[in-house]
Amino acid sequence: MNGWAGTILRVDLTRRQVRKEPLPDRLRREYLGGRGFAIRLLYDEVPPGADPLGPENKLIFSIGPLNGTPIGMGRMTVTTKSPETGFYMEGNSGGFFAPELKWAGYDMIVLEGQADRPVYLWIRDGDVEIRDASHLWGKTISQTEQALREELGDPEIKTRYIGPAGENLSNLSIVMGEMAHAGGRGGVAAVMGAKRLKAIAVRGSGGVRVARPKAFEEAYETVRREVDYRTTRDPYVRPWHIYGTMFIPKMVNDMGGFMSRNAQEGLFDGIARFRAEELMRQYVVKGRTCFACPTASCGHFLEVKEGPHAGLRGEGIQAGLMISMGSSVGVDDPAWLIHINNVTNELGLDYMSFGTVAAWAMEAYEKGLLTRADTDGLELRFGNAAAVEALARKISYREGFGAVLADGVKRAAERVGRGTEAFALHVKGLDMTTIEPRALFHMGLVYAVNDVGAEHPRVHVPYPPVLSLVPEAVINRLPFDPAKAFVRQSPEQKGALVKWLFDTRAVLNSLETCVFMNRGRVYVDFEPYAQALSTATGEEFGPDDLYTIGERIVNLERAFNVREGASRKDDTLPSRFLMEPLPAGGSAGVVVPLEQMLDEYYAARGWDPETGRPRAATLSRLGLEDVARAIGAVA
Amino acid sequence: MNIGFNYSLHFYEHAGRYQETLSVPGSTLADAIEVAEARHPGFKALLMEGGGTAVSTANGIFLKRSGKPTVPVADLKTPLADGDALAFW
Amino acid sequence: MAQKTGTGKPRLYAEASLCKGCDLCVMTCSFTNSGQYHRDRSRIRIFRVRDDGVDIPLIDCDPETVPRCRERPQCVYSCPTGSLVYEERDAFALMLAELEAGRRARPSYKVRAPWTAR
Repeated sequence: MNGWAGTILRVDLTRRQVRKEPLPDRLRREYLGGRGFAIRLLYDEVPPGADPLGPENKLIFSIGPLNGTPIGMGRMTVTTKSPETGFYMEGNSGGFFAPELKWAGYDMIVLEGQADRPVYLWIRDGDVEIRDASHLWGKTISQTEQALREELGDPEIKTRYIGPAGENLSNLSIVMGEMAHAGGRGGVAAVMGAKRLKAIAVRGSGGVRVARPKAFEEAYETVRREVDYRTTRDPYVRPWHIYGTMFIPKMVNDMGGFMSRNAQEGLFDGIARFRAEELMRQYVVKGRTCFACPTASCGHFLEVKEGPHAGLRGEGIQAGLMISMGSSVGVDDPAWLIHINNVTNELGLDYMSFGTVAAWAMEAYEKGLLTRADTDGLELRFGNAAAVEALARKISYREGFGAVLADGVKRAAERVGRGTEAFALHVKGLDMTTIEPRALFHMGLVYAVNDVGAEHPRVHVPYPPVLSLVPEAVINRLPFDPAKAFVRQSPEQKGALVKWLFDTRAVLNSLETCVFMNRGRVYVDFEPYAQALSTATGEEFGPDDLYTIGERIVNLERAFNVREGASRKDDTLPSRFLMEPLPAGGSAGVVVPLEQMLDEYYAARGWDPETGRPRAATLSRLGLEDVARAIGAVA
Repeated sequence: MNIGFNYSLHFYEHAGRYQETLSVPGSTLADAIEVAEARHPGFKALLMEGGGTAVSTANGIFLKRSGKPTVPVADLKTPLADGDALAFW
Repeated sequence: MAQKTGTGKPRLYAEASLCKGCDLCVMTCSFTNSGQYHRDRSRIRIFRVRDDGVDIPLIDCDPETVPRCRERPQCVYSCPTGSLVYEERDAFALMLAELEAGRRARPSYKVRAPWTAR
């Protein structure tokens, strides 16, 4: 088989048994790989009402046909039912695990049941072992990585693991890998902890064959040229090449959408210290990226040379960090950012969810709704970095006030009450992330209808395409009017745009490939991806086939949630974004006109606007008649 | 007229500074670019395409006029007013 | 592009400070040799001490002996940072000195060299 490995690895943690299954043809043709594979399996095998932290839930790591080739880069998907939302949860991560898994010979790892004591999984090509992990339980991320390298005698193992936050079943935990890579928030790591699976380590000695090498190389070149430094004609590419997402905060602050102090403001007074050029000068030692990334340095290897954190080394200052652990909590110290990134990485704590919880607590404290009696004496004022660090540890170990916070901002606000629910920022129970919806209305719609909850990465990065780079025939076939759809603070065309963004992202998450590199012509024109896929696998796919697969995936994800009781009432935003305009800056004075965009979204989707459920006709068109019957879809 | 020039990223590295105010004889974006080129030779090579005839789509230029929201500009004939600020990235 | 100024034969060099350890060169080399993406079929491997930021390409290849690479070594062409260079020894030494000096005014030279092919 070309492209796909052709094998699903099933791991029964209860019985400590491993078995390998052939990858079904139907799954390849209709769901492609990665995220597509995972939702089909989750829908088929995890019944409605299953306890996310119990043995009935499944944890799925999956990759696609282009992984193991340079187009796949490091991208992979982890999927489960979330203990935080009660709905479908999916996370994407990078690093080096994805190609290694493909070279070991697998398209998916499906973890089932529940071990009775801590274990880890060791995959070396065809040899798969479930090994004792009692000596690893409790270890931080770097301790776990070190211990595994020594125990397995190989410094080049690729890894996925949880830290104390996941072990203690916090919904603010995240799955980590290769020390600095992360993906799988919203309780995914808690599911892993509940299964008592501490880690997965993999080594693969195989490779990937492509069906038509010369044609595949041409397709790769076509995609790559769009994002190479010298040949790109897209304005977001060259900044990304050098600075990764470090350039974003200034740009977003200039737009008035830099989420500050629990989204009370869109301007951050500390922005000058966050200039990418200064971070490059003062902290970057050298470049870092995932496997086969064509950028010079999307991530960075960093060192602090002066001040209280002198000698500290770390990897990866991203825009999200600069907001979650920066403007959101009122801290403007880049050296401290490197430090807290290390702290949260070590604990296996998701700084994004954690930042939302911390910001909520700070707003509550400053309003007198929380006092030092509640907070174990911590002075939770915006800007108190030491308090943020203390909270990170308390949450990860469920100590004191940390136990109130560890399950996420929705439950924390329910526990505390006193009106703090009004500014607990979440959607469907998933803690808010860092893009300001009042600055970008389409993101408001995204956050509201996203089936995992408040997560921004399930659409493209929110910058408009350069339409002059796209063939006119492709632009004419777009299901929205680009002249209106990319006007950021207008509700027009957003329903149609967001449907297209979700569907195309589902394709990228199934090939898999990296959305950071989905710029230039290929942001809009999927012909080169279809070419790459066809020439790699030897099976013909056109762009329309890909769009259909993307749409099928998103509909099945929605159907999973409908089966768990989701409806239109869950497609909403925190009231802050619906009722409180930003007070100053380039995005001030407006709120998100959600209802209008929602109606247009459901219409574009072919979903019933009263319930938010896919209509039977839509599901049938996508080959999902059985799903239509199961969820009682209306015509 | 006096125009503010703000440089980000590769333009910052080329110009060696984040900001300066320069006198522009003339009134269009093209005129402002010529002033930047004279001050920092090689500026146009970074900014333009088509043999120097158009701003490359690989770059962004933003215009901030007092009292007005910041807007992207690319047309070389864009008229400027005294006190405008241009951001290059 | 190789510069033959008469001081010697160009060789493949790797500047470790620019290597981000991404394996693109490894993959490209294996594909050039075998039409497959397979670490074992590459003449390059990367020595990593990732936690310390160390990545060193180890190359065992004379591009003259590889038809596709004689004019332009494919590994050099694939590298997004300019870490891999096909040059004469003295010319390369000059390039490195300029890179090092240039890093003060242009910190981006820490991650990408001005001579990068792509």
